[in-house]
Amino acid sequence: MSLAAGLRHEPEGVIVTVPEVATVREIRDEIQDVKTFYLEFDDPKIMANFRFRSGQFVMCTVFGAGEFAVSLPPSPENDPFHLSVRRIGKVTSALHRLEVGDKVGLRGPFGNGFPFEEIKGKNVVYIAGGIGLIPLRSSIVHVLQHREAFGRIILLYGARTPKDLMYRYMIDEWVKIEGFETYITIDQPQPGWTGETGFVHTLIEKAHIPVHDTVAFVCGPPVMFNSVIAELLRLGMSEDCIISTLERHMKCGIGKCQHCAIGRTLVCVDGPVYTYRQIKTLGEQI
Amino acid sequence: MYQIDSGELKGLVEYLRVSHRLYGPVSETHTHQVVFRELAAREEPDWKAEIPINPIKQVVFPHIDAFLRYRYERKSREVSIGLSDPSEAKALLGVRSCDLEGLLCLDRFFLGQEFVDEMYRRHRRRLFIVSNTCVRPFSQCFCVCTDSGPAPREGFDLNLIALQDGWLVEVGSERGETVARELGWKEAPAEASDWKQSIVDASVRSFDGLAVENKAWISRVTNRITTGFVREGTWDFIGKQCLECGACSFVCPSCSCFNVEDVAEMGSDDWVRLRCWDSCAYEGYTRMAGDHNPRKPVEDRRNKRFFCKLSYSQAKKYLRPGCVGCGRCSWVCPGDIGLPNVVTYIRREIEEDAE
Amino acid sequence: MPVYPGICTFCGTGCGHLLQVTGSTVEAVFPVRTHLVSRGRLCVRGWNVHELLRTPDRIVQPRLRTAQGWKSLTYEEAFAWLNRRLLDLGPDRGDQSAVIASPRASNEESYLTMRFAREVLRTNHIAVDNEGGHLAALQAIWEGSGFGAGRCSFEWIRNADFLLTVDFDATRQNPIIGSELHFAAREGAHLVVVDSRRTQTARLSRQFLQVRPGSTDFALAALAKHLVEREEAAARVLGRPGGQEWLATLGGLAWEQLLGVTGLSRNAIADTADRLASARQALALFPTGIFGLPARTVRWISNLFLTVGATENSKSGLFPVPGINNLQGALDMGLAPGLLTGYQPLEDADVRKQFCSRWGVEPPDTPGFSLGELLEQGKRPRLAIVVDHDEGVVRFGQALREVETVVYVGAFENPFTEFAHLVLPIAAYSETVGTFTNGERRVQISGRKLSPPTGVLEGWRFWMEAAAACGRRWPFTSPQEVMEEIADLTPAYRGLSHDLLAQTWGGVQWPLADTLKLREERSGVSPKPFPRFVALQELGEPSSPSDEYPFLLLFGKSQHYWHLNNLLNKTFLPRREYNALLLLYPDGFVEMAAEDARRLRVRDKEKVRIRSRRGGMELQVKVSDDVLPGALYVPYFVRDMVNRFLLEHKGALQRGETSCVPVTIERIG
Repeated sequence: MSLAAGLRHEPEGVIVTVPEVATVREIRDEIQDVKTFYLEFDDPKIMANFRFRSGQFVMCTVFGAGEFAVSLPPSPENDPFHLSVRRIGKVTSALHRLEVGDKVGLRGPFGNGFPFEEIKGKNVVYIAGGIGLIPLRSSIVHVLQHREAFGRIILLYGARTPKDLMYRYMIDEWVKIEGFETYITIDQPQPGWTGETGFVHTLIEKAHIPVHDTVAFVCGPPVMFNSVIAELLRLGMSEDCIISTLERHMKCGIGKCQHCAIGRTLVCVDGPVYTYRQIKTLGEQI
Repeated sequence: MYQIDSGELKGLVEYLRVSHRLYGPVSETHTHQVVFRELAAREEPDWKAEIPINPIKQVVFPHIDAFLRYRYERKSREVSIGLSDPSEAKALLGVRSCDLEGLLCLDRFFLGQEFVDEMYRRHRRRLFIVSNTCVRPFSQCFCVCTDSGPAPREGFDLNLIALQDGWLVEVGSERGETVARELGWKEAPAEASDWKQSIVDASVRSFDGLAVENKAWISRVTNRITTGFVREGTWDFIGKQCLECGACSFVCPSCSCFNVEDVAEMGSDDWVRLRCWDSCAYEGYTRMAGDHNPRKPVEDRRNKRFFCKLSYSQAKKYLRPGCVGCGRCSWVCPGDIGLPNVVTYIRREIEEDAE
Repeated sequence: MPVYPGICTFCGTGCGHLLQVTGSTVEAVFPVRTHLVSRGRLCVRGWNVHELLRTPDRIVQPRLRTAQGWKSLTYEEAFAWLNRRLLDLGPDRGDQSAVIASPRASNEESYLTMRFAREVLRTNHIAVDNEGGHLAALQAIWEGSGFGAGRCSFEWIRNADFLLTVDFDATRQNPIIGSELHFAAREGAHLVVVDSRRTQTARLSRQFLQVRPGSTDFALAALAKHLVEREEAAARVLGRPGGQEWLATLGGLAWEQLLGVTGLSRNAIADTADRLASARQALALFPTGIFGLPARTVRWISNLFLTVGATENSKSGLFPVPGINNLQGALDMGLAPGLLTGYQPLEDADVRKQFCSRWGVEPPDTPGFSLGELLEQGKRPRLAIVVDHDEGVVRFGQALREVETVVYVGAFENPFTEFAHLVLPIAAYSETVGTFTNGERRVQISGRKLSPPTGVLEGWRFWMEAAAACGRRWPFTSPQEVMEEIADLTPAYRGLSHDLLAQTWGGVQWPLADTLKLREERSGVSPKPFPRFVALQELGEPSSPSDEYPFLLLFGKSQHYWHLNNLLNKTFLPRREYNALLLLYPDGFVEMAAEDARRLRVRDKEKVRIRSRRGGMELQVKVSDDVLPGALYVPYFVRDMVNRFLLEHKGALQRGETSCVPVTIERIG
């Protein structure tokens, strides 16, 4: 059974064309250039019924600037609704200038999402680099909320320096959780840092990650991604069990504008979650 | 089938004019360029004109479409948003088979797949289509190679076939039938279907020999493109000539890529969200903000576009080949590429390999 | 949804298009297959011109800079303010004012700007750019051929069997001309590209003469030298005016030097030169304007072509290609310090009298300077009027702040207004009627398709009201009448009228009258038999690398001009395309050959420091196979480059296209 099967969404309850208005309730400064925006739909019915899966994304409208695609970091259950966004272009810069009380627009949720039901009973390994932790956060929190249903749950996370570690406050909680094996690393040793040092892929062996009955979620910059994949394959992990989420330039989010196309697939509807086997055969560089 | 004379054809136009905005091919006065546009108050379409420079997709998928309007009053934190509703009835007159097939591709693409595109649906509903069989090909046509003409097969409400004197009219829908009856048209005699057949056969025969010969080649080329066996060198050769202007995508009846931008409206506090035609020919099309461009080399982009037009996986999306054989791309390409040339280059490659 | 024929507003090719308009917005643009030049093609800019025409980023109200910020005015108030400024200049207002006109404005508006400058401001400090590049190129061509303007037509390209492009990135600068070159090459023409960088045109050529940076003139000299080594060729040369000096110049150049400096092989030179000699029809195309060839190089080409007699053949010759849509027309309208319309010299008393019969006063008789030249000379005119400009500003930024009154006139908002005291709106080209002249002297009319924003004046009315506010009444009731006056005063434009142009899709090339020969003697200058070999300056040694500065850094280049362009920044798709490179190299880039990158052990995207004798800058490496080992290329638009580095190398900038600076590269960190 391919984990890719059943990774499609249903159009019911999806905000497709006209953005729904939401209010910024709280803004938290994360790492350099990254902020988290806690949002609430103005329409309470929508807020109550907004359902999504880990790994899906929304299209966020900043009024007077434009719209951009952003993954949903909250768990689908019992987690305040928020977006964590890095300031990188015209629209995200406008977003970063917003204040509490300002309005944004949201469309979605879109995309196929990470497997959840399908991986119950397995070991789950999360491997992230830098801001790659953001899209994985949803799955991590969700799996932890149901950790009895899974085998070993492992997080291997690294960034260049301690200042570049996302969700530091969450990590501080995570390291305390029984049964959640966490390894946090930074590239080079630094005064005051007592955690691991070295690139993320070096954690794989250190953590003695399981290879059978295991699913690995990998998300990070291209160099890190490649070295992690190489290591996992070397250990004998199957390409169908390595899962990632791809980012592409998106405009419509619903499979029409074709900006996100890679070979035969559209990242916004067929993805953004793909197994490594699928990624390899997409027909073009990612 | 019905048989009518030119007076009755005019009558059809006037009948539709009452309740529809009329669109049709007309030769622009100064430039003598045939364009497809809305007809003025007493204007008739030019039924004999060659295909217009602009594909009819423009009616349902405008070059620029301000589809969403919003206003955000920051002080009072009030937002108003609305979707445009282009819901007037429109009649498209004189649509050629290739353009009609293109429209059907767009229908399957925008109204099918994972989501129904609401804006396309709004533009598309309430269209009455009167198509026009091509009784002779024009110089750039190759619809016979892409199974898209010269006679329209589906998607029309009424289809015309020019006779020496008068017209045959096929009905393609209930609405078409209603119109025919309301206008009191006479049924065509039994032999009319033979007349139609011989007209179409004569048309097919007059296609340039090369066009007919290419029919088999297009299929083989599609095969080669789908399986990815076209040599890098061939894409390099094609890519080298591409001036990255986007013309091929813009004039193509089945191309549908678009860009979305929010822009302030002059003279008001509103912002509008625009959809504008985009092209995968452009380097910036797939770039990511602040990061690498996955499809930078121009050869890769040429590869992508022709893959889109001539591959089986895309054909599944459209339920037919992506290319409708209209020939416009060869009209407008500054690099002298155009789909027929691409087929020729890949054909050469196939022939070389066979030796 | 009416559809209107029109002419694209971007480059000097003058492609025809149709604009579809609904109410007051442009909805679509299509190419026109029946247009003589564009024949159904448009480039990325032309296909997206509707984005420009829909931008909300317009100047819609006159505004005045005050201590409290911008203050809105009516036109009446603004013109009255301008008039007071003018009166304040006193009797020598002419010396104290300068006008930089727009190379984009229509002929009618250009003419009225020129008339305003000369009749109202009484100044000859008029120009359409700061370097006078296009005019200098035309002058250089005239010196050799007696033709006062480019005499070639774009349609000659398809029929030519030899095409030489010199430092011309055609497919980016004038893409449809690039397309014509490509079609010609596919049909068998011998397309030769002389350039330091492997541009797309170079890739499409039959012969790419990749010369070391700064050595273009040497390459042309080498081609000519090869030709005159044949006795009959040399004899023909001697038979012409200036031939003896030409042979002496070529004789004084050694092959070793020529080949060493250019990096070309003797065979490549021989092959190219021989093909030129045996060509039936040969054309040389090159860019003009801010990124164009210096006049000196144009003279080399002129002499080269005359050596094989290519300028005599009716469809051969030199083709200066303007990068902006009405650069040619603007010069035709006398927007130059020493010329009136149609290249009639200011210093000709009879010509001035003719203008007086229409204007009521003679234009002042002493030629002036461009604003840029004045500022360079250390002068500070008290009043400068700048119409729709976005070049050269950075170079003169500092000096401009010392000009007492700067007035900016334009349709689109422009960062330039930072320097202006008074900002005045004018209608965009699609909102008025005007004619435009492309690089082949083709005059085309563009009708009014939209209304200007409420209250904004069309150009012709704008200048009339400005003149009236300053005490000079003009009689025009339509742009048509402006053209009538132009045609009356300008032999080259005689017979042209809006009626004629409206009936002729694709316009007409001037001169209409057969009897008007382009080859006209300039009065005041002793008659010269044409064609002739022009005198050339010594070929100075180009900058050469040294141990300390082993690389030659090549500046700017026509390809990337459009990145700076103010109009393009109002669009989405063209701006995205011209910015595409910047997204990959956000700090700007320096292109270097792979071999050099390997040797220096630097990687693509890695930041390096470039240092010359005078200054330095930090840029990211872009490894490319388009540049020669030892050569570096930095595009003009890079901030750091323009603001600091380039200013420190003013001389190099002045030499424009083919200049280069010896530099070294240092790894950072």
